[in-house]
Amino acid sequence: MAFLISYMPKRDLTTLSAEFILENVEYAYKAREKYPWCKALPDSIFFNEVLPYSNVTETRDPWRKDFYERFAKYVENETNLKDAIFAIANPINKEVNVEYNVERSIVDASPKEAMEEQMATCTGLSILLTDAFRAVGIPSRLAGTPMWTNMRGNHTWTEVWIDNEWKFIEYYPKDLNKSWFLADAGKADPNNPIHWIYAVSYKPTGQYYHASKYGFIHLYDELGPDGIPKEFQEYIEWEKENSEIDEPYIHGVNVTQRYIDLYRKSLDNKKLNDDEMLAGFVIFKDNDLTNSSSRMDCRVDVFKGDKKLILDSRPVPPTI
Amino acid sequence: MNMLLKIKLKKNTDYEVRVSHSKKDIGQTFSITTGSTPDQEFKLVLE
Repeated sequence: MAFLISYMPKRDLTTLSAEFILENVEYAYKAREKYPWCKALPDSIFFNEVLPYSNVTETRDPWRKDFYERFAKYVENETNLKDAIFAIANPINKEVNVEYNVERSIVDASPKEAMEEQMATCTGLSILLTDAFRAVGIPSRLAGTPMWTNMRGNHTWTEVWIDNEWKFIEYYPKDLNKSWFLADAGKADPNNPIHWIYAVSYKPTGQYYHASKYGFIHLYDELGPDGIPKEFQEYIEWEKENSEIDEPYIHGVNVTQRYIDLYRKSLDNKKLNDDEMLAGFVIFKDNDLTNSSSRMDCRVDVFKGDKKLILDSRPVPPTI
Repeated sequence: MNMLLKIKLKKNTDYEVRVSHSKKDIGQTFSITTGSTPDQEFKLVLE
């Protein structure tokens, strides 16, 4: 309780009820008592990545008790942390009945908001997954970037603490540290905070998590116009004039180098021959190639003559 | 935000790409030719 209060954002200090906090703490400690992987955690990880009631800027709805009860059945027979992670991640979309859909009304939806709409995009889906992990005592946090280096947009995903290190996973999971976005994350620019990969920390770290809603605008304020690509300055100025933008209060850590290293390692594992290349496909429903809503989640199969190439062509949900 | 599949193909080669989505009644084929660079992105616009 003292940890949460000590580092609580001002907006939460004045709005959250004692009942909300007490229930959150009670069920976090139930998980610590019940699950062996949570019992074994050092206090520093339990406090910062299991106990917190929030991730980023989402509405502070009480999810802890519901998720503790809802997800217990998936992990009741698990003793291994990796098995427990996938016991939650594999069925979560069916359990909460939320799928990726850009028609969602809130970017940073809380679990309650996402479940009411039955849809979310990458931030809302990652919040759902992170909270589900935390509910069963699995340390988890959000990670993301304000802008890929190819300027194709932002992304948010989830990380879990396993084997004494952070590994990433998505709402539609493949395996730990494997996803379509690693090629983009691995090209992050350690010299430009717009292109960093950030992870959330509840406890202050000395820097902010700039991959959250309006993080891009906070960076603009921090870096000045010269630090932001010109094509985004007009959008930022418009948002500043038309939106209520809080001071930054989501703390973060810079984890860029870990993703660069992961990507380099993955390239070593699938080296290309001189006559080979990696082809990426982005599907649009119309000619507005700059609008993220135009991108489609489709199956892609590639043929050479009549021969269908064996591909990993499972539809990968676009994310935001 | 993006949606990107990375597929290993031969350089400087013609391929047919079938884009489909059963629930949305999408099924369209595109012809592409890969270049000589190790990494290439294809933006496919549905009609």
